[in-house]
This record gives sequence, C-alpha cells and structure tokens, in this order.
Amino acid sequence: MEATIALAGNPNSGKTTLFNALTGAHQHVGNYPGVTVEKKCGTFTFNGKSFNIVDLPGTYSLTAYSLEEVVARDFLALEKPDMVVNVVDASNLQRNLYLSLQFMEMGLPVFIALNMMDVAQKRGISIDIEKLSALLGVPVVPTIAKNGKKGAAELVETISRRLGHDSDRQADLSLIRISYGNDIDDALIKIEKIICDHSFLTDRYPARWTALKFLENDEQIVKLAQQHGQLLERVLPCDTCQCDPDSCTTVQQISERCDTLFIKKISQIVTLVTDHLKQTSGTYPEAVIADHRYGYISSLLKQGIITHHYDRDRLQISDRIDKVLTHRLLGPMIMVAVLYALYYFTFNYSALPVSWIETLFSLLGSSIDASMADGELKSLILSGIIDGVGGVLGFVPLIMFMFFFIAILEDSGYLARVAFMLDRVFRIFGLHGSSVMPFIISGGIAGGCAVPGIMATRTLKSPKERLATLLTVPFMNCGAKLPVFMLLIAAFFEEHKALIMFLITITSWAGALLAAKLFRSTIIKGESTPFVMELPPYRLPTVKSVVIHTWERTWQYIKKAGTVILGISVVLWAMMTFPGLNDAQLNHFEQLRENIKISSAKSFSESERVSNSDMTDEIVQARLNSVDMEQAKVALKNSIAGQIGSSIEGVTMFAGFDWRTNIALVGGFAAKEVVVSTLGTAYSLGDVESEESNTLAQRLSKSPDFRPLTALSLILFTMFYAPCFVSVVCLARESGSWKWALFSVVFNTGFAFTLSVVIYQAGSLLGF
Amino acid sequence: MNQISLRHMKDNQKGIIRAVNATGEMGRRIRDMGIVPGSEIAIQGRAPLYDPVALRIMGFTLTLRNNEADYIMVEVEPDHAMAKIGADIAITTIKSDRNREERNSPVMVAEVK
Repeated sequence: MEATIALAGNPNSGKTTLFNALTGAHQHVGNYPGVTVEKKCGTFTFNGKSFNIVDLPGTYSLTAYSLEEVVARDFLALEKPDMVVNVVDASNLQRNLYLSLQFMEMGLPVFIALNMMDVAQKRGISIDIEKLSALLGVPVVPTIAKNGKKGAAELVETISRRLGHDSDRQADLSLIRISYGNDIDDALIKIEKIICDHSFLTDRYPARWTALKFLENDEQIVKLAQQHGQLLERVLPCDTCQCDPDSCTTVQQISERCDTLFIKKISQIVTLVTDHLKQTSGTYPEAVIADHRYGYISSLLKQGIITHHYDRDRLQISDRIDKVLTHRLLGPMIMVAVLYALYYFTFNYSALPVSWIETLFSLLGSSIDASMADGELKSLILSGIIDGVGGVLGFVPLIMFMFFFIAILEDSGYLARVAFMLDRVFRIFGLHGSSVMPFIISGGIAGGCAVPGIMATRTLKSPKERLATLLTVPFMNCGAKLPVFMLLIAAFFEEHKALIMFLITITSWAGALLAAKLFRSTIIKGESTPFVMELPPYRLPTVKSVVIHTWERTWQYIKKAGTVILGISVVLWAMMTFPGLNDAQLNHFEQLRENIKISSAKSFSESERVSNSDMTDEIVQARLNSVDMEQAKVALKNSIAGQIGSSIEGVTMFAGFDWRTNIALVGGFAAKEVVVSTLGTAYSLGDVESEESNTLAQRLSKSPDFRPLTALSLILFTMFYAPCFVSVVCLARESGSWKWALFSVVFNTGFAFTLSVVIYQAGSLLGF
Repeated sequence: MNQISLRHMKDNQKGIIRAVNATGEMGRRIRDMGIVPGSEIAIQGRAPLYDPVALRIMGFTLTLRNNEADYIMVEVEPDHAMAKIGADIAITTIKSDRNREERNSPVMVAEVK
C-alpha cells in the first residue's frame, strides 16, 4: 500500500512551494467534502516506491474556530497519515513550534522539515539542528524551499528511509506531555481518567489531548462528547431541542435529558478549575494553556538552540520596504497605482487571447452555419451550445491573467499590506481589508468582470466578510454592463457623458458597500473576525508556484462552471426561441415577402430600365429585411421570454419598463450585453452589434415609451439586478451553496426594482 | 510600573506584554500568534488611517485592529516624556497625546500615575 504523507504547518512557511517541488505536475486540487477549503493531493515516487502526499491548509493552531483548522485536525485524526511532515519556518522558529507542539500532543508521527534555512542565515540566525531534534524528540531535516529540488530530494530520502523502518516509526510517535501548572495538570489527570473510562475518542486522540480541548472549551469536542454520552447512557435527544442548548426552550430538559452523566462529570471539573483560576489570578484555562506552550518553547530555545549573530532589532530589508509601501502618504498612492496596473494588465493583455477564442468560435459557428440545413437543431447548436460554451471559454484568458497577477501580489506579500492599509475603510461596512481586490476586479473601476471578482474572494480568510463580499461584488459595473450604459447615455445624456459615467461608478460602489453593511447587520450578522494577521516578509514569487497557482484555479473554473453553464445557456436559448410563430403568422410573413417580390418583378418588367435595376434591387432587399426584422420581433414577443416580459408589464410599468425592455432584461441574465442586442430585436432593428448601437440610440430617443427618466431607471436596474448566470454559478460554487446564489438573484432583482420604481415614480411626480 | 494598553503605544515604542484580557475566538487568535504575557513587542507602524497597528513580535510582523489592541496590556519602558516624575507628567502626556487619533489621555495619565 502507498504511504500517505501529510504536509502541515503555518501559512507562509513555504509549505506549498515544497509541495509543488515534491509533486510537480502530479497533483490535483479539490475541496474537502462539504466545505470550500481547498484540498491538494499529489503523488511522487522515490526509488520505485510511490507516495501520496496531502497539502493541509496552513494554520497557526488546531482549535475549532476556523474551517481550515477543523479540516486539518480531522484529516490528521481520521485519515491517520503515515507521516506528518511539519514544515517549520526556521526564521520564525518560536511561533512555528507552537503548532508543532500541538501535533506532538496529538501523538502524531511528526517529522520536522526546517524550512527557509537560507532566510534564517541571512538574518543572522543559526540553529543547532541536532539539539533541537534531541530536545523535541522528533527528527528534524533542514530544507530550502526556494531551491525546491534540493530540499525536496533530501526530504524524500529521509521520508522513505523513515517509513522503511518500522522500529523508527514507533519512535516517531513521540507523545509529549507539557506541564500546564498544578491547577490545570490536576484537572487534566482527572478528565483523562473519565475519558479513558468511557473510551471517548480514544481511537482518535490521546486522552490528554481531548482533556485539554475540554479545558479550552473546544466546540467540536464538546459536541462530540454530548453525542457520546447520549449513546453510552442510552439517552434519547429530547424532542424539543435535539439537545442543542442554543435552541432549547426549557432549561429543565437540558439538565435532565440532554446533559448526560459523562458530560456532567467533565464539566464539573472544568468549571471548578476555571473558577479557581479566575479567582486566584484573574485568568482563564485557555490563556494559561497558551502561556505554558509558549513558555515551553522559549525554555527549549534558551538551551542554546538559536544563536543570533546580528543585532535582533536591525531593520530587515522587508521592514525597510514597508517604510515606503505602507507609508502614510506614499503607501496609498502606490497602492492605487498597483491596483490600477493589475486591472489594466488583466483586461488589456487578456483582450488578445479573448479575441482569438471569439474568432475561433465564430469560425466554428459559420462553418456549421454553412454546412447544416436551417432548423431548430442548427439554432440550438449555434445559439445555445456554441454561444454558451464560447461564453464560458471567453472568460478563461481573463481569469488566467487575473489569477496570474493576484498570485504574484499574494506570493510577494503585498496583498496583506493592501488589506492592512484599507481595513479601516472596509470595516465600517462590515467587510475586511482584503475585500478591495474582488471589488476592483468586478468593476470597481468600470469595465471589470464579476466572474474573476467572485473567484478572487478566495484570498479572504474570514468567512462572514467573505460571504458579504461575494454577495455584493456583482453590483460593480462589469464590462458587459457598459454597452447598455453607453447606449442609454448616447440616447439621452450625450452632453453629460463623463459626469453620468462617473456618477454610475460612484452609485455602484455606494450600493455595494451599503448592501454589505445591510447583510452584515442582518443575515450575516456577527462580530467581525479578528484582524489578527501576519504581514509576511516580502518575497520574490517563484515562476513555478505562480504558474501552478494560476493554472489550478483556471482549470477548476473550466471544469465545474462549464457543465452547469452549458445547461443554463441551452435553457435560455429555448426561452427566447420557443414556441415560435404559428402557421398563420408564418404564412402572413411569407405572404408579405411574396408580395414584395411580385410587385418588384412587375415594376422591373414594366419599366425595363436596366440602369436603375441596382437601385430597385436594393429597395427590394431593404423591404425584405424589414419583413425579416418584423418577423423576428413578433417571434421574440411570442417566445416564453416574450410572454414573461408581456405578462409582467403591468408590474414593471411602475419602473417605466415596457415589454420590450422586460425581454431585454430577461436576456440580460445570459450576459448583460445581450440587453442591447435584444432591445434591437424588440425594436425590430435586427441583430444590433453592441459597438454599433447608434441607430438603436436614435430609435430609443425618438420612441414615445422612452424618456430620460426611463433611461435612468433602466441604468439603475441594470446596475443592480440579478448577476449574469455565469456569475450566479460561480457564486454558488464559491459560497458552497445554491441557496446563496438564489438569494443573490432574488435579492438583487428586488433591490434593483425597488430603486428603479422609487426613482421613476419620484421623477414622474416632479414632472421629468 | 507603566502599564498601558497596546492601543496607546507610540510608533517604535517597545514593551513587554503583561496581560491579555480577551476571551473566546479573539483571545485564542491573539494568543496563537504569540501574544502571551512575557513576550517582547515593538510597534512597527500604523496603517494610513491609524488603524490597524503593525507590531513586531518574536521576529515577525503582526497586525491588529485598535479595538483588539485594547485587550492587551503592555509594560513599556518609561519614554523621555514620562521619565520625569511629578505633576508635569500629566501635562506632557496630554500634549504629546494631542496629536494622536484617540484622545484617551485621562486614561493614560491615570495609568502613568
């Protein structure tokens, strides 16, 4: 059987670089079941033996507070990897060992890869590796992640040697017992005994570790203990609350039925020691435990493990860079420049590959157009499938470029500084400093795209802030909304073009931030996640890690989003196509065409003026075209989308939208720029290219149904209503639930409609 | 002993953590990063809007919001303004504090006394 190795350690410890060096292309990224935490697996072979390797999410501790920590902990306890390679940043030994201690307390086969030895050396830190290994009782191997190959080769050799000898492996299972002071130690011994007597989780964790978790009031362990106790004592969960203390209405039930003897015995000890600590020293068990862990580490390191060659307070290069990049005045200016550059490069440099893909699909479309007979199948393939798949793949270069630049910003450490500088502003709205990136990409500077913006929320580690960001980024003005705005501005506000565009940008930011505030004080209520964040030293990102990072995220998008999006695009096509025209209507249009042909033939034969034949042909063609357009318009009105549009006209009139606008907005769910082309069909102008919407603008400005106020209402609605379905699919994936995607569709549309109605009605009253 | 909350420390000021009064998730996260009694820290700087604060601890840089820094009590080396003992401490502190974003000078004076 292949041995499984888990890579674990702090964020920024070079874990992922080491993982990439070990596995190269032999890796795949997925999610842990049910959560959005990335699971990275890979394989490597050494001396003909192959190994499975799992890159666990980077954590500082193993509490039950963050999803990453729970995932890492459960993996280690349930999957029981053959070896845990704990990647430790040598230049930051003290804090990194805090996690190592917790692995050792769990009794795992730990093995320390002392990474970034080069950085430590540069900082004038030398480490006595043998002594460290002896004192900790686990093997320690120095590695240099930057020089991935070398470090990895050495590591692999040691891993395979260790796994080869069973006797050695027994020795690796070193279980340390740290003393936490008399009070805690006594309580631990008592709880340990209860745990062993009731064999609670003894197959997963050492009893002492579980006992510690009780003292730390660990949610996951307490919940498991409740279930365990009920099982042991054959207590059925009470009917009203299912033994969930939060939702229980009768206190009596909790104490009599839910709280089992097992839990009671333990909580008695915990309460006793907690009260005692509070009275004698005004502190809490969890604080005492953390203090002693750090105390243990510093007493360990004081035994001559670390030698500092330079003055410890010497400003390191990274700190000197920070003096400029987070400077009170220069910092924000540089940040604006960097964000603008990211935006500029992403959207400009991806324009060429995007156009290649578009050309490819239009070539494919025209070749099918030429080789197939007209009919519904052809229409399905052309408008449904090719446009749908093309639409998805069209985003790929954009996503690749965006993740490429974000990976550079993230790996270099600059992204953390951006969060640091902007946190104060975003916190007002219940968001996090890191929320800025998704907002900018989605169109904070008009012209972005919500799809990569939604995916960029992955850089946010706080769950509540992340969800609020996810739900509000679609309010930004993406590139697809721009043609709609341009059309309406050209038709009604030509003189104030720049001002209106500026106001549109401001409005979308205000809408998004206020909506975020609303969400954070209602449905995603709760204390903000503490902004306890490491500012990692600046590092030059490696090409390999940036490329791998970019590719894996892009591939995930293509794979998962592609299938769903294809389906929805076919449905939308069907809605705009069926049921089509009935025979009577078809005959009517056919008759019209015949009439034109006959009358033109007549006039041609009568006059027989050859010189004018060209002109006559043109006139005939124009007449025929206008019949085609009229037919397209009637067909659209008759389609399911058209029927929906007409049937809700009674309601949408409050916002000033007639059935034509309604269909266009339904079409806009496919992609916002479709609003323009659908309006074109609805005003029987045939297919309107979004770039050449001048005729449509003229038509709109002359239409009695359209006033400047209607245009304003439509601009607001387009800005805020349901995100396009590609965004909705991504939103469902990134939030981990279709519930939020659906919420986004319903809420945004409701919000947009309310806003439009208020503006339209108020405007009408004021006589606009 | 000059104990002040971390919020009121000045840029580049050094100190030793004496108490962390936060509980629950915030307390855990703060402690996990090495903010425990006895740790030496130095303020490295503040964000352009004075919040969050960046500090140096055990050789790395950590950021905290000011309302999180409130829970952390630090023993600071008496700085130049505070070295003199007597009534003028209060005046000097208020003066030097006037430029600060948070004017909790009464609290601070009480601490100094």
